[in-house]
Amino acid sequence: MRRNTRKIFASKIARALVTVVLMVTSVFVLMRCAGDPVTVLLGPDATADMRAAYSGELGLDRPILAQYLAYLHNIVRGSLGVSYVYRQDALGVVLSHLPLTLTLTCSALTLAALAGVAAGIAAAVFPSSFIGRACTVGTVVGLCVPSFFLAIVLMLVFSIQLNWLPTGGAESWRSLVLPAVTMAAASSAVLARYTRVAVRESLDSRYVLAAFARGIPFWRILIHHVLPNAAVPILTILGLLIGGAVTGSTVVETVFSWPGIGNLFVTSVGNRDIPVVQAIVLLAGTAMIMTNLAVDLGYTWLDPRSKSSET
Amino acid sequence: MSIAWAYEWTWNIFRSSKARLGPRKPPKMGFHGAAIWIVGCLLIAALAQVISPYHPAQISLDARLSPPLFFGGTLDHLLGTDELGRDVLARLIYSIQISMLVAVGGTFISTLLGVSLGFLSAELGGLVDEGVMALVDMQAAVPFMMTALLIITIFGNSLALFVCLVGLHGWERHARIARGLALTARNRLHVTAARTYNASRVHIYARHILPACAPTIVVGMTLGLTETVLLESTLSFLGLGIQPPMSSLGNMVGYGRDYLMTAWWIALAPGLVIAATAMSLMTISESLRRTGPRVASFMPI
Amino acid sequence: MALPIEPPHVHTARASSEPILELRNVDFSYPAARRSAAQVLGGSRLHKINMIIRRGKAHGLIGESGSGKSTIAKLLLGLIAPEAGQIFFDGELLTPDRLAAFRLRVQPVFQSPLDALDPITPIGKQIIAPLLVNFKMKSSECQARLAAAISAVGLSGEILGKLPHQISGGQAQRVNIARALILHPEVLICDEPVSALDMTVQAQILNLLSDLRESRGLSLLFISHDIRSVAYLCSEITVLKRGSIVESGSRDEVLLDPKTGYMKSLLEAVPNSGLGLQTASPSKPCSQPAGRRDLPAEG
Repeated sequence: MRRNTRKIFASKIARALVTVVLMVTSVFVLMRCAGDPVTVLLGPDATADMRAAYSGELGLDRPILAQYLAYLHNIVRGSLGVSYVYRQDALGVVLSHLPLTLTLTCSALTLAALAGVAAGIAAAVFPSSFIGRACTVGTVVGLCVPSFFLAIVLMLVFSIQLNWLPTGGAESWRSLVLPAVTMAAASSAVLARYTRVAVRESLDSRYVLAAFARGIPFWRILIHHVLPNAAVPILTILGLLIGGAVTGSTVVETVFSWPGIGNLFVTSVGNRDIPVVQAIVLLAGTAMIMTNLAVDLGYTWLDPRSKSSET
Repeated sequence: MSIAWAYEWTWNIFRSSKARLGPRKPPKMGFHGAAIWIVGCLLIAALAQVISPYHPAQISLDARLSPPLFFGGTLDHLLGTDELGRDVLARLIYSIQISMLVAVGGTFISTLLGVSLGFLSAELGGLVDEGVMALVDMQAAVPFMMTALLIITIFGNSLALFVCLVGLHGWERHARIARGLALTARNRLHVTAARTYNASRVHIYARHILPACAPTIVVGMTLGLTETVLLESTLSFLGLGIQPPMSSLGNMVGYGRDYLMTAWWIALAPGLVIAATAMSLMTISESLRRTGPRVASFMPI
Repeated sequence: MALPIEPPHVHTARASSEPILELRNVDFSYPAARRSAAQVLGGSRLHKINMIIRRGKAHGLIGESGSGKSTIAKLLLGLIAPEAGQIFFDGELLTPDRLAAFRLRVQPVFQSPLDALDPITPIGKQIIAPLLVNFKMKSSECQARLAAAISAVGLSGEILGKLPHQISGGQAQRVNIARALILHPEVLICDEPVSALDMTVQAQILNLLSDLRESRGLSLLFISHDIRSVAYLCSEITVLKRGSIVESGSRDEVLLDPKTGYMKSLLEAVPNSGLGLQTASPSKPCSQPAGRRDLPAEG
């Protein structure tokens, strides 16, 4: 069985690597569709020397397969072109924005995890009470109100009308509150939804009924029987949310002018700063695939059934 | 804790679980409201040129930044005007038209693409199947927003391209569902029976498998529509989707953001329309799912 | 309900006994990836199957579940291709390009009649679907053949507008037979056609098949795990065990003088039966009515 688990792990890792390679390949193909790769990577106003150096490096005189291999080689070396706007290495530009995005994402996800899981449990345990209904409605609202609109409404109320919090920037913790809350809203709605389903499912199961019949108090059943069983789907969703954080933060960072990767992403798309966009896509895509993989492996690790079922 | 209280709790919990497993509930109030809203939006979109009180680009400098009716505005401009004196209601109506066009067109494309690829991969199997599923995996692994932004960076933007781009969103879910359903359906006995009287593959898929999959696909489409509306408005809000002079709902919110301090109504009206539309679509898809086929993979993220 | 007193094989002596469908040394196994649990358990493999179905005769195929009976049916319907060996139809080798013509002449009747009908199409449309798919036919002619087909299976016209869930299992099986008959086939492959039906309906369907064979000169391959219905309907019997034929011959030989322990154990397993290993008089082997457990055993 141990060897079997290792085999499953290996196949999952191989699949993730294939996905990464596919993603890189699609980016390559898309870039080549865009036009002359030297112009694409160096910008329209690059000097002739730079162009010559770069086209040598990219090997544009060689066949397309060799170019593709050179491209892969460049990616592995971390050389993703020079930003048109910042006139620096694109990867460096992106990485310099990373800490702020991580700050925002971590605080938002912590908030979302607390609120979402609590709301989901409440909605599952009291489905017909006021709390349950409020959670259900809140979930739909959280999923459906686009985050840019929520951001604007919050800004209108708390910054403009009440003047409690700043409208943007990243100067103090006060400027973190609104973006984090906005970002947490959608994530917590997703989490609450899955938590409710998972908790409900395990509440409906026979062993919980049996535990009730044995007279175990409800909170003990909840902690010892229901939550451990509901944990796997909740953790899965949390993992996916972490993986998608960069794109999730795009809108929020733009609205609140939070200088993170998301903001950089949108500005670069607007400027058509292809090297930076490419760097972000490759970085965030890889991060997403890797978190998916980690969640998947963790799932295999945690759930005793998935080890024994594949014989 | 008292026994009565515990009893009450237990009863509550299990009663609700019974109710959940019980017979299909008929659609409720929420469903009707949602349906009316969506039909209304579609009507507005279809008749925008007829019902709009002004041309959306008509500038009247006398009536700049006039607030909505009950906030000190006049009957001339029910939802107020923007800083160029353009009527917000007229712009809203035209925006609904563009947004609906993009959302419906995009969902149609993505369903068509997904279902045909799913059917192809189910029927042909082998390498085609592997290839389609690898694409599906990749599309599912990378958030669509990123793909969209990359494509916009590289290829620029136009309405047709944008509709196609939005149409790329969600095809992988349709493909996965269609493939799964087709794999089950093609082994059903009545399909085998059709094969024994020389029915062609096209006939079998059109007459037997597609009707069997249709309810599930329709539920998936309503959900896809919700996501498409949100995606379109988000991209347009960021200024990367629908470009001026055309305006869509998200575009209007993005534009109104600059006047939040002085004229909140410019951003608020289209934002509310987006939220209401998305909520209606989600309510409809929930009701359909509850009365129709149950498919776990419909949970949106 | 009335069961025929005389066994049907008495009337079929005049039918020519040339082979119409023949399996020669057929091997088959399901590819590993597509094997379902049931297939893994046993019947996934056919080994050196030799079988002849003669024109105008009813040929029975007996075996326990998983012995490969349905796989043979699929082979004979052209749904799967043999790995080795050949299938001959009317003296010609069955090849993929002859499959379309072959299917017009060999039609199936499946085990679960309601599953074999598309749940959302009216019965009438389903019965004429084979005509519409295969021929360009005038609608008046379609209607005529439809009427002939449903009267042949003893259904009334009002069923045509109904949906499958509105009719009973017995009616549904008659609809399936009508759909098969509308192409005027020469062979019916009946894969457990009565095992999903209740006892009285079973007897009706068996009688219908038997009548059709007589009146139209149809050849039948009748696959069943129920020895009594096979004994009632068929004049030749093949016994299948784990993908190989263990016994084959005329009804009297197989049922009254089983050579293998397997067949003996199958016969012993028939409850309340006159077909057991008792020495019944060979001249009246078929006085045992099919599928009627409540009738007293003879002999």
